[in-house]
Amino acid sequence: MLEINHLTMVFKYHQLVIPSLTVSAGEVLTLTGASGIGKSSLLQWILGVPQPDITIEGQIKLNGEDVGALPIESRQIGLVTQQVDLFPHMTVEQNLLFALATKQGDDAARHDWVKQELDSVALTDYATAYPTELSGGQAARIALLRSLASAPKSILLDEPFSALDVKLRKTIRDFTWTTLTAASMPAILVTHDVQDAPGNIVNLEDYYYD
Amino acid sequence: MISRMVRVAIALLWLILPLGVVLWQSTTASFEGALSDAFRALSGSALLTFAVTLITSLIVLFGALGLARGKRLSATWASFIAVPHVAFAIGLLWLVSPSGWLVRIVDALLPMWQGPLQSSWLSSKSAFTLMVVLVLKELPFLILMTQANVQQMPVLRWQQQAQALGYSRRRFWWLIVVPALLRRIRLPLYIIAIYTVSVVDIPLLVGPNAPALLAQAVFELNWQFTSNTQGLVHWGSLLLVLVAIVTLVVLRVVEWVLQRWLSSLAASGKRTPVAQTTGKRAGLPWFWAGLAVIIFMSLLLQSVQQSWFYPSLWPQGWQWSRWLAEWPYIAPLLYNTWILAVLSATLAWLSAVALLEVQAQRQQHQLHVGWLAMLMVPQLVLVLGWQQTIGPDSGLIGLLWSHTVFCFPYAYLTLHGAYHAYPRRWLWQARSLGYGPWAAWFKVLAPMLKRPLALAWAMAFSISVAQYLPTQWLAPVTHPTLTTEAVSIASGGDWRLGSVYALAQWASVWIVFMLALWGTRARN
Repeated sequence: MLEINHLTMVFKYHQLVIPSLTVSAGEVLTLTGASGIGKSSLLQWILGVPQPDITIEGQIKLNGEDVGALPIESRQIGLVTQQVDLFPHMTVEQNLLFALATKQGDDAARHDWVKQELDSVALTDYATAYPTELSGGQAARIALLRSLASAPKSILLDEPFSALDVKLRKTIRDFTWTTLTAASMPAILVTHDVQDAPGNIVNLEDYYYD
Repeated sequence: MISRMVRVAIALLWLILPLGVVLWQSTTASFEGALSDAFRALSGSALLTFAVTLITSLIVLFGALGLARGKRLSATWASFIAVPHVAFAIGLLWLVSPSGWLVRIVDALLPMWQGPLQSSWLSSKSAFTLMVVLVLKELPFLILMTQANVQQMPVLRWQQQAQALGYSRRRFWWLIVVPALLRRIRLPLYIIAIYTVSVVDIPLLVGPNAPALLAQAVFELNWQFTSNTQGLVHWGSLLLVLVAIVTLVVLRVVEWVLQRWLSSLAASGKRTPVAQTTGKRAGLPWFWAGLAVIIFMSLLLQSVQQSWFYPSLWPQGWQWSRWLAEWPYIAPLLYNTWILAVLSATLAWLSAVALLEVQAQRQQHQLHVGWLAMLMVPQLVLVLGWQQTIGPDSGLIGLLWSHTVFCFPYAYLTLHGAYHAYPRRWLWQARSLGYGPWAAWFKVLAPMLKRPLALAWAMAFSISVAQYLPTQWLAPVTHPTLTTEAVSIASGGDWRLGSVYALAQWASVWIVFMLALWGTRARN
C-alpha cells in the first residue's frame, strides 16, 4: 500500500494541500488537473527526485515503511513516462538486463528471464534492436517490462499513453492494466485524459490554493 | 555555506591573489616616477594594442553575425578552433607573405605579374599580419558560439512570421535575430577581446616590433631584471588591464549603438526584398577546413624543404633528415607537453564535470560568467601575479596549476550545452531501477554523453598544448614545451625548423581529437 499524508506543496504562485492519499495493492489511482498544477512534480517527489523550486512537506509510506528520507534507488518505486526513456545506448535485451541487475541469479537465468518476457509480448526478434528501431507501441511495452524487472513495490506512470495514437493507446492501456493487475502493486497514473483511468480519480484542482 | 567558502577560496587563488600581488608590486615598485612615466614609455604600445584589439574584435563580430546564418552547427568549426594558434600563425605566414605560396600561385597564373609582392602590409611582422592571423583564427570560434545560440532560439518560427509579413530572410536576420544575439554572444566576444589584448606568442611571431603590442612589450621587459624595468612591468600590466577595460566599454557602446540603429530600422517597417543567399553559406566551413589543410601542407613542405626559391611552387631541394636530426630535441619536449597536457586536461575536465553536475542537480542551467572569470582578465596579469607569488621557476606543480586554470573554462564551455540539455529523467530511471547516483552516472549518463565528454577533454588538452606565457614564466627551464620552442625558433627567423616544432604541436592536438571522435563514434 502507498500512503501520502499531510502533503503541502508550495509553488511560486499556488499551493497544493493534500491531507491524505491512499493506493492499495493492485489499485491504480489516477491524478488529473490543469497543466502546471503540479501533477508531475508530485510524482517526482514520490519517486525521490529533489525539487529545488518547490517547498514540499509531507509523509510518504510504502507498505507501512516511511520512505521519505530514502534516496531514489532505495525506495523501490518504478517509473514509466511519456518519453518511454529506454536507454538509447543499450539494446532491448541490455535495457532489461540493466533493470534485472540487482536481482539474484546467474547469467543464464537472467537471459532466460529476458527471453521469456520478450516472448510474452511477442518481441523476441527485437532483443538486439536499439530503442530507436522500435515502434511507439513496442517501446512502451518494453518500458513497462523494464520498470517491473527490478521488482518495485509500487509504480508511477507519468502520462505513459499520451504520445500514442488512439488505436495503439487502447492496446497499450489494456496491456498495462493487465500487467499491473498481475503484479499486484499500488500504482499512480498522471494523465490529462480521464478515459485512461482504470479506477479512482483524484482531481488535484480540489486541493488547489492560491 | 561550504560551497560558498569553496567558491571564495577558488576566486582568491585564481583572481584576487595574483591581481592583488600585481597591484601591490606596482604601488611599491622602485620605478623612478609613477604611472605617468610608465604611460609615456608604453603609451605607443598601449594605443596599438587598443587599436588592434578593437579592429580585430569588430571584424570578428560583424563577420560572425554575417556568416552565422545557418541552421546547423558544423563540426568543422570546432575542429578548426582546436588548431594551435602558433602552428596556424607559422603556417599562415608562409602562405600570405610577400613571396609566399599565394603570391607564387598568382605569379604562375598571371605571366605579366612582376613578383614578388613589395608590401609592408604583408611583411612577416606587422600589425596587419597580426590582425589577419587573429581574425582568421578567432572568427570560427565566434561563428560557432553564434550558431550555438541561434539553435536555442525559435528562429524558424520567427522567420516564418517575418516572411509572412513581407520581410526578406536577410532583413529578418539583421532586424530580428541579430538584436537578440548581440547580448547572448557578448561573453565570447569579450573573451576574444581579452585574449587579443593579452596574447604574447602570436605577436612575437607576426606582430610589429616598433612599437610592439603592450603584452609583448611587458613580456620582454620582464626578462630584464633591473628594478626600473620591473617597475615598468607592473605598471605596464596594470595598463594592460586598463586597455582591456576600455576595449570592453567601447565594445559595449558599439553594441548599444547597433541595437538602437537596428531597432529604429525595424520600427521603420521598410521591406527591401533581396535575392536568397542561403546556398552561398553551405561551403563556408569548408573554406576554413581548406585553409587548415593548406596551412598544414605549407608547414609540412617547409619542414622538409632545403631550398625553395621564388617563384617555384614546390621546393627544389629536400632535406628529409631534418626531422631525424631534430628528434632527440623534440622527444623530451613531446614528453613534457603530453604529461602536462594530460594531467591539466584531466584535472580541468574533472572540475568542469563536477561543477556541471552540481549545477544540473540545482537546475542552474545558465552559463555562469564567474566560472569564466580567468578568461576575462588579461592572462599576462594573472600569470605575472602567480610568478610573483610562487617564484619564476616553480616546477611542475605551479605549471600544472596554471595550465589547469586556463584549460578549465574551455572544458566547461565545451561541455556546458550538452550537459544541461541532457534529460535528467534518464538518471531518475536508472536510480528507480536500484542504481546509486555514481552507478547511474557511469552506466547511463557517461555512455550517452561520451562524445561531448571526450571532446571537452580533448579541448582542454589542446588548450594546455597551446599555452605559452604560463610555461615561459612559471617553468621555463625545467619544463620547456613544443609551443615555447616553436615560438623561440620561429621568432628567431628559422621558419623551416619552426615548422617542424609547429607540426609536432599540431599533430599532438590532432591525434587527441581524432581519438576522441573515433573512440566515441555511435554504434546505432
